[in-house]
Formats: sequence, C-alpha cells, structure tokens
Amino acid sequence: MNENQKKLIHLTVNGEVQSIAVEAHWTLSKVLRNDCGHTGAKEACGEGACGACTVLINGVAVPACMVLAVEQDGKDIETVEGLAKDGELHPIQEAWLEEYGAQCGFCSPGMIMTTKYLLSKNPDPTDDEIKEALGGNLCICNNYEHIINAVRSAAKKMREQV
Amino acid sequence: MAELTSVGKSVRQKDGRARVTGEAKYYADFILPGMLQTRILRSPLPAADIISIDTTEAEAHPGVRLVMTHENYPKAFRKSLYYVGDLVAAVVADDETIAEEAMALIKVEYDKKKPVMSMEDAIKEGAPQVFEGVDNEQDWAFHAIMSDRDPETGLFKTKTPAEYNGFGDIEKGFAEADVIVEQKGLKYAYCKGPAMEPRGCTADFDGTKLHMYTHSQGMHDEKLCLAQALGIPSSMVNYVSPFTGSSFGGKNAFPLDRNIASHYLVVAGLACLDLKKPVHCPYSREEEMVSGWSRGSMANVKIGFKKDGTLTTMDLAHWQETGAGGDKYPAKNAMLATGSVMYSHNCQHQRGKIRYVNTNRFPAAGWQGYGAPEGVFAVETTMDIAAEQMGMDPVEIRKMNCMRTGDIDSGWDPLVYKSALISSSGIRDCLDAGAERLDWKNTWQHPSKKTGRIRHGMGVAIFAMGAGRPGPGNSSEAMVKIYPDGSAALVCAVADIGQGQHTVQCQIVAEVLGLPYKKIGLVCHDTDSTPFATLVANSCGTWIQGWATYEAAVDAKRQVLKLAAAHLGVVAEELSIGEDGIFMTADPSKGCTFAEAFGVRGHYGGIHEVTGYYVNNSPHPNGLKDGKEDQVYIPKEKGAQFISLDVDTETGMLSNIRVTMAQNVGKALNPKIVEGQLCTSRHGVDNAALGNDCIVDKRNGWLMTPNWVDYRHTTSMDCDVDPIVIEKPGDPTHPFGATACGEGAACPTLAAFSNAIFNATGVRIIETPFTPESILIGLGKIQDKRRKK
Repeated sequence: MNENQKKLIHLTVNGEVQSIAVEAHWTLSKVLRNDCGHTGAKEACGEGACGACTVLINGVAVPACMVLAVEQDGKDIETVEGLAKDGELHPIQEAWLEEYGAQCGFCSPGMIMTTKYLLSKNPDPTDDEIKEALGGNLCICNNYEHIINAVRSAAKKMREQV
Repeated sequence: MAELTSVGKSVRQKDGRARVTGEAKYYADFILPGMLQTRILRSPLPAADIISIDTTEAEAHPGVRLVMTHENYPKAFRKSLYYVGDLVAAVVADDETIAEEAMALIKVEYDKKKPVMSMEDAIKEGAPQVFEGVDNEQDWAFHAIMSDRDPETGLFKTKTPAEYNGFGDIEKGFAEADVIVEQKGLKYAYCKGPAMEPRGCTADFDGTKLHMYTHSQGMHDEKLCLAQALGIPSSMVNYVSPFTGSSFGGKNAFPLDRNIASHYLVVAGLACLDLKKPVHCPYSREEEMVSGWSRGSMANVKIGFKKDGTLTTMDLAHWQETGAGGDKYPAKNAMLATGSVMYSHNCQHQRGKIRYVNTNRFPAAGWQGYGAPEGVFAVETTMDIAAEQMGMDPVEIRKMNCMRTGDIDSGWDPLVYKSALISSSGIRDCLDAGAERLDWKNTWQHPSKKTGRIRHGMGVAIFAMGAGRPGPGNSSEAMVKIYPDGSAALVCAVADIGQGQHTVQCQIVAEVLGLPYKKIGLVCHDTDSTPFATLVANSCGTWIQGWATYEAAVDAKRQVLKLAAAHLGVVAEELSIGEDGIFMTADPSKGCTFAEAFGVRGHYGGIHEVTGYYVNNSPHPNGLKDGKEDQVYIPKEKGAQFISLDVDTETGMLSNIRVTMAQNVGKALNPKIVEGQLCTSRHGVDNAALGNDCIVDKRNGWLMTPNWVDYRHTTSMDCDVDPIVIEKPGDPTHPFGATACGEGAACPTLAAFSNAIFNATGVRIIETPFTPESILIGLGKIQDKRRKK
C-alpha cells in the first residue's frame, strides 16, 4: 500500500492524543492493537458477534472490530488499559478479581468495558438489566454467574465511591 | 490435618490482575517488529485432488515473501483435500492485505471427487472412501475383554484383545433379565468445539532457536510434536504460551497428525525458519469454525434389569464421527457411561463396541468430556425410559445402580491398565442434593398429569468422566523455589486454559510452605523455563500436576527448615514456616528470618534460592491401594445434573431453562473456581436448545453456519446455572482429597434435557438438537418432512 493512500487521523486513546496514518479499510480494533499498542481489546470473531473487542467511543460501548478507524478521527476512545490509575485498579476490575469474573480471561476486557458503559448509564441495574446489557458479550467459558456477581459488586463499589 | 489457610479458600486468580487490565499476553498480543502476515487459501471442495497449482502471479505481487503449496512445502500441505476449508496454499506477506490480494492470484485446478457428507452415508456399502484405501468405518483399535476377576477386590486380572470391550456373558445377562429396555438410533449432532480465542501462532527465529508463541494445553507435549513435524531438534524450539483464551480440549495441538487442526504451527514454523523473519499465522473465526468439531455420534443401547430395578447387563454400540480424520481418541470414552464405569456397581455383563467414522466434514477434536457426553446421552436417556417402563422414580433407579466408592472401573483406558478401583463416588449424594434443591419429591409429576399449553418438565442424568489416566506418559514435574526475601515461586508448565490451574497449584504451594498465597509467584511462561508437565486433558491437572507441586513444595520446605535448623542450632522437626520467617513450633517467638537462615550472600556467592523438585510419575504411591502396584485407584469426575424447563406445546419453544449441576469434588481447592467449572454446563445447553448442528450444503460441502451469528452460544440471557459443590472427604488420590473437576459438567446435559422434555410433554427425543420442530413433530402437531433414509 502506497503511504499516500493512508489518511492521518487523531485519536484520543485513554486521554493521550495519538496521530496514526491508517488505510481506509482498517478497523478500529486493528489500529488499537497494532498501532496504538493496546492489545487489551481482543479480537475473537471480527464480526461484532462476541463483544471481546468492546471499547468506549465517546463514552459509548462499541465492538471495535465493527467500526473503521478512519471514521473515528477526533474521537475519544477508552480501552481496558485506561481503567487502572496510578497502579490502582478500577472498582470494576477489583470486582472482577473478587468474584472470579475471568476464567480464561479472553472476554474480560470487553465485558469490563461493557460494564463500565452500563454503570455510567445505570448505576444500580437490576439482574435482568445486567443480563441484557451483557447480552452481546460472549463468555465461552460460561462464567456468566460470576460475571453477573462482579457487575453487581462493581455497581455497589462505584455507588459507595460517589 | 491442621486448619487450612490457602487451600479451600476462594483466593484471587493468580494471574487475574493481568487478565482484567488487558496486560495479559495471549499469543496474538505478541506483535513483533517486522512481523509478516499469513493467509491460508482453503479448499472450496469437500473432496478433491489438486491437478495443478500456479503461484507465479501471487509470488510476483509486491510485498509477497513466500507462497507455500504442497509442491514446495509437502510437510505442511497435501495434494489431496478432504473437506471444505482444507489447506491448499499459504501466502506470507508484509501485511494481511497483500497476503489476501495475492491469495486471490493463485490458480488451482482441482479434480473433484465424490464426498460423503454424513455418518449414515459414510457407513453405507459402497460409499466413497474419504481417505483412499481406508474404510470410512473403523473399530476402535484397543477393544478387549476383561476376565479373571479377583474375588476380594473385584479387579479384573486378565485382558484379552477382542472385537468389543466388556466382561461377563452378554447373552446370558439378557436371557436372565426380567426387563430389557432398548433404544436404537440415538444421535448426538456434530458440534463445533468452542474456543473464545481462535487458533493461531506467531513464530520467531532468534538465530539459534525457534520461539513459537501460541495457545496451549500442554506446552511440552506440543513442542516435541512440533519439532518432529518441522524436522528440527526439540532443543531448537521454545514454545511460549503464558495465556490461552480457552480451549476445552479442541485446541490441543498435534501437528504430526495431518488431520488435526493445528496446521498454523507447521505453516508459520516452516516459513519463519526459511525467511528468518517473525511470521504470524492467525485463524479468523470463519477458519476456526472449520477446525475442531466434536460430539457427533450414533448409538444403540440395550439394558437388562431385574424386576426390582437392579441393572445387570448393558450393551452399547457407538459410532463417533471424526470428520476428515481428526482425533480418534474420544470415541472410547463413551464406555465411561456404561456398566464398565458409571453403572459398574451392579452390572455383571457388559459389551461395548466403539467405532469411528470418517466423513468429508470438518476434522474432529476432543472437547470437554471426550466422548463421555455422547455415551451419557445414549445411556441416560435409555435409563429414563427404563424408569418409566418399570414405574420407578428416575432419581431412585440411578441411586440404586450408580457406581460407588470402591467399585471397579474397567472401561476407562485399557491402553494402560486393566481395571482400577474408583477412589470416590458421591453420585448418590449429588442426586439427593439436586433433588432437594428442586423439591423433586413434591414437585415431580408424571407427564400424563401435565396439562395446559405451557408444560413444566424436570429431567435428571448422572455422569462419570475421567481424571487423567495413571500410567506411563502421564507424568508432571514441578519446581518450588524459596528465596531469602521470604517469597516463593512455583515453576511448572501446567496449562491454565480458564480452568484455574495456575491459581490452585499456587494455593497448594502456599499451604505446604505455610506462606500466605500472595507470597507465591508463578513461572509458567514457556518450555525453556519450565520442567515437563503433561497436557491438561481428561481433567487431570488437579491430580497429576497437584502431586508434583505438593511434593516439590514439601522438598523445598524441608531444605529451608534444614538451613534454619543449622542456623538456630535445633532440629528441623521443631520448626515451622510463616510469613516472617522460620520459627520454633512450640515457641513462635523464637526463630529467624529467611535471609538469616539462608546465610551470608554476596553477588559472588552464598545461597540465593532453595529449589524443591519432584517428578510425579503417575500413579503417585498414594494412588495405589495399600501400596500395591496392581491395585490402582482411579479418581473420577462424577455427579448429577438436573434440567428444568418449560415447553410451549403450541410453538415447541423452550423457556425458563435452569441447570442444577451437582458434583462431588472431594475437596474444592478454590470453591469459586469449582463453581465456575460447573457452570460450563452451558455448553450442553448450546447443543440442546440453540439448534447447534453441523449443517452443510449437501451439494458442495460448505458449512452453512461459519460464524457466531448463525452458530450460537448461550449468553447471559439464555439460561441460569445453579452449581452445587459437594465435598466428600477421603479421596486418597490427592494430597488434599480433591478429585477432578472440569469436564464433568459437559457430560449429562443433553440426556437431562431430553428427559426434561419427556417429563414435560411425554415426547421422547433421541436426536439432538432439540428444536421446536422436533418437539412439535413429537406432539403430532406437524408432520416430519425429512426424507426417510
């Protein structure tokens, strides 16, 4: 690919502006993983069916394999790597460890970002609301009972922090 | 035993922090400078030979480094193709776009052959052969008759190769039976073995060594096999696999077998060795979907009972689909569900005939249970029919006949032993616990009493699964290091594919050493830094690695206590270890720090670490009854599962699916991990209720569901699982009394599901998946439109 066919875009990833030359067909997940060094976003299906690559784009949970990087120019992207601050885990991550939310862990970054989005909109979700919010995130280890416990526990922790 | 401080606690996952922060490096997260990308051209035909292949244009495409075919890389590619998706060629290029463009430039001329697209077609007289010169249907190679039973132990002393597996006199058994129940044509659909992380690898040559970054179920096993497949010394390969994004058996790599879906290793390995550049070879989800299928089976079951319900005789005929080759191992695990293991308490006469069947569908791989779920489906639906015919409670007929502690296992693995003593059972406790949770006694009703459009049903099935196999080749090793700063490290190669081995093995070290769990580190990164561990399969990690870890920790502790004893001028037996150092057991105020015990150190000398080491050449001495080598204990996974659901008799739709999964694990080393393992029952719900089947276009062999939209897995919204962890102490085969826990949850679901649908509607469905259509056909509300075979 001729470098001239690339377009320079600017993404704010976890608070830092990154300028990246991208080809028109590159997905956001590819760019985050290969060009930004954020391999936390996992790619398991490449077709928006599993949610493993979920990140927040301007605060909204989106599977990063389903959007083109070139269309995200100027947007604010938050990945799982941006959650812990100064070595302190985010309450959702703490809850994940307490409740054994990760088995193999491949779905965890996506699940955690979906949870962050859910709790930003609904700080005290019911069980049915949790299940519905996570409905697009597959856990092939079938660890849903623990994951739902983790979301409940994270919501409680975050409410107590406010 | 003193009160446990680490074992039995739901401590945090040892490498959990990395998993929740995104720092954990799965193979695809190793993005190396100058890394080349691979794309594989796959067969569009289910059976064909390549007549010619022209790569000229592809090779001339700018950015292409290598085009691989059967002509220049016969180790990786074949001239004959056996399924849609089989490997034709590969392009290695500067990036994946170039590789994909070049792939389209490869010209291939095929000679089409006639495929067989189902097991039924494959075993028909005159069917085309999938592999030329090889019968599509083959007997399991190790059938054997057990005889010469020891009157005291019940163990069989003689094993004679035969046409089938078993013991006793099957004809006599049925002649003397009061009730005979027979089911023919039971079918468990061919289903895709699940994995969150698709297959793939990255190969990197550093001038002396090939580093293979990939997922793994057993780094050392897979490494040796890869080295042989590449034709290089094993010492030249370092297999790197710190994290694996689930596997469930299917991703266990065996690159020497051309029919097993681990081709990425050979493709990337050969390309990397020749190009001397890092080569990435990832499978897309679509490629993953044609790799590693499982479960597909047909079975006939016949069971003989005495009037009172005592099971005396069982006959199982089992056919297992292996697709275009694939793993032949799983089929014989169907024997686990028979009178050889699961019903060995009363069964006097057993016959089991196991066959595997090649088709031009996608190659098979093992998957959680390795044949046992298929056997359990056949046997446990038949047991339900027997209970119905004899007017018995489905729970009671199982309690009466299931294996108990001390009964005989003669069906597990005649490859390595004749028969063994079941070290613990607890199935009856699991049946009781599940029944109590569902208030079975008061709420179970015969299907004839159900009325209304929506009908509730409850079904039960028991299961027995492996737990590794004692014998040659099933060894694992461990090193435990203790440092002068009071921390310790477990060095071992046990794979954590999500089942929690990294965590529970560190708990064992903490418990033995007397150190807090947080002080235990883990070295489990690659083959160069770890001693051998057998692959985690048959749920053997807790047991086979467990002993190695335990004994290595005992060894390390002994050495440190000796150092401290010399420093303190006492005998080692008087000492204990704690977080702050070594102390007198009788007077904890007296003691020394680890640094003091280790003595003076400079960077030129002194003791910097103490290493304990152990090789568990299974069986561990504790796995022998009274230390007798011919009386081997075999731990098992075992328990009972209940399914409750509602059936809409107008639409055939299922709702309110609830799984109650009870398993005796002896000792739950980490209760939350164990509960998580029981929740993997959902894979059965995938196969039962989500329509999962290997649906191919019969005209061209193409998979109709090559993605996760059309081939579904349960989500948080589809069902609930209620795990019941039973801990019956006393299993001698583990240092803390734990038995295996992992694959059991996959075994009973389809049978319990069929039984629940019967209980709700009176409709018996013996073919999976349980679709609304099959329920409505059973209810007589619609006609079966399928062509009769």
